[in-house]
Amino acid sequence: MTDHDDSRHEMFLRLYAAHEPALRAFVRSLVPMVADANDVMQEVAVVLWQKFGEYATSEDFRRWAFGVARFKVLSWQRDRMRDRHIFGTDLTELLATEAEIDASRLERQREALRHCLEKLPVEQRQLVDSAYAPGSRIDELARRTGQTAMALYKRLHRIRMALVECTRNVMLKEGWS
Amino acid sequence: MSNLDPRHDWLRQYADGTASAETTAQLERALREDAAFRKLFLEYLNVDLALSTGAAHVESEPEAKVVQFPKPTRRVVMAWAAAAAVVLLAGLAAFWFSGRPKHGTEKAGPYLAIVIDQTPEARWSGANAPRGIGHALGRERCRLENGAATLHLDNGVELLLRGPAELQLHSVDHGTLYRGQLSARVPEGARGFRVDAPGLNVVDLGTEFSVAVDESGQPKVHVFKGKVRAALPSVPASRTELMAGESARFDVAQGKVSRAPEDRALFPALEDDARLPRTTGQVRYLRRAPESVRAGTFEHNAIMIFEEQADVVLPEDVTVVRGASNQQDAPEPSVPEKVTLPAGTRVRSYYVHFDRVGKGARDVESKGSITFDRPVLGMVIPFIALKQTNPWLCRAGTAYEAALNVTLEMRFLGWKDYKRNPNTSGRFDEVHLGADGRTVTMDLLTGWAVDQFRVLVKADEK
Repeated sequence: MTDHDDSRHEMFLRLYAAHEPALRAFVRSLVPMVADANDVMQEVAVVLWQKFGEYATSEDFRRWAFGVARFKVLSWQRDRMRDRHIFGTDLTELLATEAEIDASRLERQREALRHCLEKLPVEQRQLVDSAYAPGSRIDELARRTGQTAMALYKRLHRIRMALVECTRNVMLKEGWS
Repeated sequence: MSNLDPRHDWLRQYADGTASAETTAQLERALREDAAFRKLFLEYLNVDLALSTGAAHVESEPEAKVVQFPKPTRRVVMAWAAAAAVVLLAGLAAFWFSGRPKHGTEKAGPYLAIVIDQTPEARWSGANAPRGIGHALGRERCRLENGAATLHLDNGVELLLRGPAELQLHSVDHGTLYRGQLSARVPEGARGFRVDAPGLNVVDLGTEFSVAVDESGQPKVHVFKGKVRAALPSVPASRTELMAGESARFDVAQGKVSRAPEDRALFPALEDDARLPRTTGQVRYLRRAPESVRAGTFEHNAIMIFEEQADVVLPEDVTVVRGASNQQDAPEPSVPEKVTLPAGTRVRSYYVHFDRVGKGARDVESKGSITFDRPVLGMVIPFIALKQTNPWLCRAGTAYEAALNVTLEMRFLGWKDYKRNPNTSGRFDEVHLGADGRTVTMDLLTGWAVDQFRVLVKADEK
């Protein structure tokens, strides 16, 4: 690779790494299944690298990357127009706009989440760790713990709601609306 | 948030991937109708994502993120995909370090900034806060209880933080000021540097600017040079550009921006002294001497330089090296020029300190340059010469390394052929004086030892 290629890679990596969590959150909010969201993110990463140009600022890159992600989500959605498990285009557009505007707040929420996780009762924390461990399956976890999958889904939902509430309180104290 | 709200169960099913078509349609209607529910929807999925990617579990160090690229179908695609995959897989874990590893060396540690100056009363707190001059800041949130400190970020951005303040750097491009006053000088190459305050984003557009967050949490922005773009992210219409000399106050609760002139005393101005040495690469100039340059003091791999003495008359002749003291790849390197500074020469002395994080058989490499505003008389490199000059030039209040392990591994140690003792990686340290007579460039490696030497420049004319 030439020095130019190296510096291009370096710049791309720096920018991509800085904005990847926000982009991933953005895509995840618009694509229902995690596996599908991962596929879309891969496509986004490929396009970003292929078409990576000169960006005067990190903010310019961010705006462009969100545009690419939005396009890829809508394209993914168009391919599944008959799938009634997917939102309509207009709602996706609305959510995309709001998710982009909220990107900083959502980034801060992910940071606040660490603090909130530490506050979870041990039993809930262990359930979260088990359920979100790589390769974990809810049905197997339910079998191991002698519960139904539905009961586990609901317990995890209550924990997620509590975590949302906790992160809101943390951010409210910091002045985030 | 009521647990009895049926919409929450639709949300759960959507996130779990178990929502039926009917549930999806119900959820869709609810989301169209209620902005507050859309906010909850985004936050809920954000929490789910953070848990599933481990983002909420990791501490400050980023993990390598695996991006799987599709199978290439054309040669050109293969070329970039292979390159990108390799770089992304291997490089993302350490994406913020400059330079590439080579010849069995390791890269620098995970720090974003170094404290290059702070007032005597400055006091940091927080588990991972810097301990003073020369120490590093990572991604942890830290507090400056009082006083002021100047930080040099890895991309050249300079920040002046005035306490009581709380700051968290997320990357070299982005930080959050929770309270206190922060001024930023952003060089051309780092344009786009962003400072968030609670409810506010400020993005540099080539500038020098300041953000202040008082106890009420209302952020204020002032621009010294260039311009910035500031916005309350929850109010798109609040986006505004501020030019040099302009100030604005942001009412986060009301979503309002007022451009009334602010008290300039709120915004600390960064020092702008053309006489200060300028650095490049991984060299950092400390504006005050650190408390110690003993091995193991610092938790980063930058090369640091500080002024020891402003004006000292040499009581004895001192032999210094000037010119190219070493050429890494040259088969027949020229013997460095040996110069004797006669007794009575007035010098200003600077000390160079490079110590890797931890010790190990794999060398850590750092490089860069420093340019002085006056001619360099020479470098004091051999241990015996350092030892000779220590009594006259060591800075009072700084603890120096007393052991012999401060010697550079030069192909020529001073003027003597020394090539049997390279670094562990087989490479030698390099130090050159540039043709301008004022710029010292260095490429240093260390595995087990510490690299230290002196640079002597002309003292001020009287």
